[in-house]
Amino acid sequence: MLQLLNITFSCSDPGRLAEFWGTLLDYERAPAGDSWIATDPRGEGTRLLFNRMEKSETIEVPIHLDVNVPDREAELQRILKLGGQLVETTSHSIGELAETWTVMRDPERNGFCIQSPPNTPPHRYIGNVTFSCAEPPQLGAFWAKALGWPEEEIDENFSQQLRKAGVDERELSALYAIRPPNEGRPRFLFQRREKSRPASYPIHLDFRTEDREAEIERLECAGASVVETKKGVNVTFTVLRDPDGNPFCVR
Amino acid sequence: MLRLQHVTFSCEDPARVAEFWAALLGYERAPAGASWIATDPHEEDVRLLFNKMAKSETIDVPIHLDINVPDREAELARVLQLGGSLVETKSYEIGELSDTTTIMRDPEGNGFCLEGLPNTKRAHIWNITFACAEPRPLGRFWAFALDWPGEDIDESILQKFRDAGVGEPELSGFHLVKAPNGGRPRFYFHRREKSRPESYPIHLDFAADDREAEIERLVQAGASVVETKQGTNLTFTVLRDPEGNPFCVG
Repeated sequence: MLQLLNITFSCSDPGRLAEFWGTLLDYERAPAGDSWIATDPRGEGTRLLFNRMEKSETIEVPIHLDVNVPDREAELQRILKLGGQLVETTSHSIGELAETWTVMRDPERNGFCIQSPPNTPPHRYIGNVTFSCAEPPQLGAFWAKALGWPEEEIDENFSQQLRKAGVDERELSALYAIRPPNEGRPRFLFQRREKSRPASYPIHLDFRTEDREAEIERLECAGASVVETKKGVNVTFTVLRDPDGNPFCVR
Repeated sequence: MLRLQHVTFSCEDPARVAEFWAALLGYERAPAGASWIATDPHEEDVRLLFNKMAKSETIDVPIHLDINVPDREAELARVLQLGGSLVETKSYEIGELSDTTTIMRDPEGNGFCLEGLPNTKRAHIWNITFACAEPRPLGRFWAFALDWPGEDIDESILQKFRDAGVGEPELSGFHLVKAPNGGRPRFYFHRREKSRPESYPIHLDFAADDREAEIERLVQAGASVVETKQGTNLTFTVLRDPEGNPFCVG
């Protein structure tokens, strides 16, 4: 089974980007060689790793973060001061259901969202790692298997409200979520959206596992493909791609 | 220069899609061989052509129509009755600027938008919208092709965006090309990742006085020729614009 170890950003200036995300999430940050690491002092949130690495331009990032904040409006102003940029605030409604979030960019233009869903705790945290993909339930099922996480049940009442509002059948499979057991975070959210297919991804996920080789075999059976195995000084890791082509690393 | 003749839909069931769009826009429809044509009885808005043709599945359609209606909420309910379906209603807000759009699908799944702009008397096609990587260069190509004036976005709007904290690339993320007489439809370009289907569900057909000379002019401007087809009454050339969107010149 995979355990999420880092969310890794490819950066041209790791120190600057670590400062931005460290301040945004109230994480502590520290240099690690040429890279920077930002960690949650509460010991809850996923660690962020900032590597100096090549990345391709994207229009729609294949993977982005949704950050939950207590007060979205106030946070928007704070993030602008930290060096982020606004894309837009979007509200969408379907029948009686409505939701609002603000799309922003970090100093290296990586898109992310801030949102204040009901019952948000009084601190900032990464609510979702969101994948843009063609078939959310299919890609979601792969990751559910890889992580051993259950799928989040969609309230039948909710689907019923969507149907009542005249929603296209296809939209009912446009969202899919899995989450760690015991209300853990972040969720993995899969949304149907055309994504960029960059040669070098700006963001990817790093996982650890007990037995790397056995795990890779298991993931390949589930639809992943191996890119290469790299031997570092202290660690050997394998780069894979999920069934949709999103790269990830397993050590 | 090019004159827009039709917006052409590739359909499984041309009659059904023609019926939907004609009812939506108050157009008249008529069969034409295996195809259907829908025309504006006011002779103001662009004609629609529905061909029985293969099309690929898309997630984000490369070209879609923005329909202006007097009352967006009322229209949403009416479109559902005509056999359309809802994706979502979206409101955008950037500083003090805001906009609301309802995204829907026609009976064959083609996405389109409904917008309720003030002073709209009846439903009409307001924009032909291109999802693209580089709105400005693509917009300039089409302004050249149509011989419409190139127009930059109003500086006061850009300043409002900057004041709200918007940076690049959003400031270059959209572009608008309008006919000189203010006629419809407008061509709107926005930066958005799009599907790259083998067979486009929607494409544009144009007429030119001298097809061959026109094609040479367009190729110099960045278009590429796919093929020339000889029909019974008509010879036309399929081209692609600089971002790969197919269109026909007859």
